[in-house]
Amino acid sequence: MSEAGLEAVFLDNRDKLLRFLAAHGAGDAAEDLLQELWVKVQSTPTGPVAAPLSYLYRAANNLMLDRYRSRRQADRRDQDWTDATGATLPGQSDEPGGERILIAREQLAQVEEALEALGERAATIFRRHRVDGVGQKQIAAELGVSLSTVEADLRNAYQALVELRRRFDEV
Amino acid sequence: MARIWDDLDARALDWVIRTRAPDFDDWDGFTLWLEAAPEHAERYHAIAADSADMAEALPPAPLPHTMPPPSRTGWATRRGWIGGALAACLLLAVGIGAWERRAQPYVVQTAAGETRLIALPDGSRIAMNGASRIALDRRDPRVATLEAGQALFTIRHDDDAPFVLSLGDAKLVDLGTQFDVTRGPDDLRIAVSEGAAEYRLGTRAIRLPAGRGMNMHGTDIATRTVDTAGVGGWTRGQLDYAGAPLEQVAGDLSRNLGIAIRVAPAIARQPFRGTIALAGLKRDPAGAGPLLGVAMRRTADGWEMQPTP
Repeated sequence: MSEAGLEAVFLDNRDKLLRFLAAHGAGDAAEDLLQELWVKVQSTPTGPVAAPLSYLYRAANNLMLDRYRSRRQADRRDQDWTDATGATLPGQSDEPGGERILIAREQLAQVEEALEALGERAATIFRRHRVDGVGQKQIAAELGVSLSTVEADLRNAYQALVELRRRFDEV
Repeated sequence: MARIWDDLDARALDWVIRTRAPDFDDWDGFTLWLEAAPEHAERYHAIAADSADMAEALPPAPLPHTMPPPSRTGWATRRGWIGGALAACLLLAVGIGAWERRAQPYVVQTAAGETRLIALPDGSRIAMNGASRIALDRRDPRVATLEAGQALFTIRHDDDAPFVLSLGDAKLVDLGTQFDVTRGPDDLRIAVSEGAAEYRLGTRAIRLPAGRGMNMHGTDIATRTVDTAGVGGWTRGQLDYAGAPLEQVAGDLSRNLGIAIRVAPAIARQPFRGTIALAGLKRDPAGAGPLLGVAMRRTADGWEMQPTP
């Protein structure tokens, strides 16, 4: 798919993408975000794109997720946990990192504990999927389990970690 | 905040998992679900962000010992399977000790405009800027190679096992805590904000304490004073310069914004002094023009800095 081809798909599906951004809660910013999306897609070197519309949807989805996450990180910048683990990027170079790292290690231990508590298989599946970026089908093949087992383990692991993440916030 | 998890979260999580699959294509169905209630998007965003926070804090999984290294793709084919399995058994039988200690390199990379945080098992952290590539070793968290781009290293110091960053033929050895490194095709910039680091190339060693940095262009090396508060400013959305050439500023902006920004040759060496706030520039790169004293012109694939008329 050439750049011109991708642009044609973008223009043909402008309304659908706009609707998708609005469904994501873009509100009045939807038009601006669509423009930002196109600038980003254009300036990102890509190889041939097999499914151009799906590619544009994915880029739009990532844009909305990044936007939400960077806003949330900015809101939390002063909180201990985010500084400690660097969920917000580390920035306070004038404060030696001793204490921040200690907190981070403590919480990282909790994260690993929560994952291990699900059992070795689920923990491995989550790490392979989320940290190493391996697809579900390949993980099923690697571990010799069914795809539905991988899906179920993945769902449990996600839920456990999201719950823990929210508990960190409550403290 | 009593609610931690409910049914709607479970449904949002399903979409988070499904939409992350590279072959997901039910975008119409996903749009309809999002449109059904504003809360759907809120839950989806929150779960995606929560899980990303957690996943980024985790070090990569150790490779299962029973598997061949992933790079040996031939082993996975059916034809080669039996021979491969036999070879794997032999390898396991005789080689497990060596395997345990063997380097297990992996590469982490970011697209332009994307940042990523790597937490190493020893408590060290690497914040990667966009368009960057770092090689690491699962077996040894004290070595890394910056192959391209920029990263801020916050290292847990250990006198007995210093952290060593490879930069082509050169090495940067951590003697303290925090330093920022940018590597281009033929230039290198280092800035130390906490502790100290030592740059080593052949028999040459340059010690860089906090507040010092060095620039290398080709084979020329110049050390300089850096403002420690500004080091790694990109992680907070700002770039500080004390007389850097515009071509360097353009490279930094491209990496941070994910937008191709070039500079006209006539002004490539023009120095810039000041602080650029990245917020807002993503949507409107032209906004950098007045601050930089240049005219920003749209090009086929991005922007170009040109002399002001």
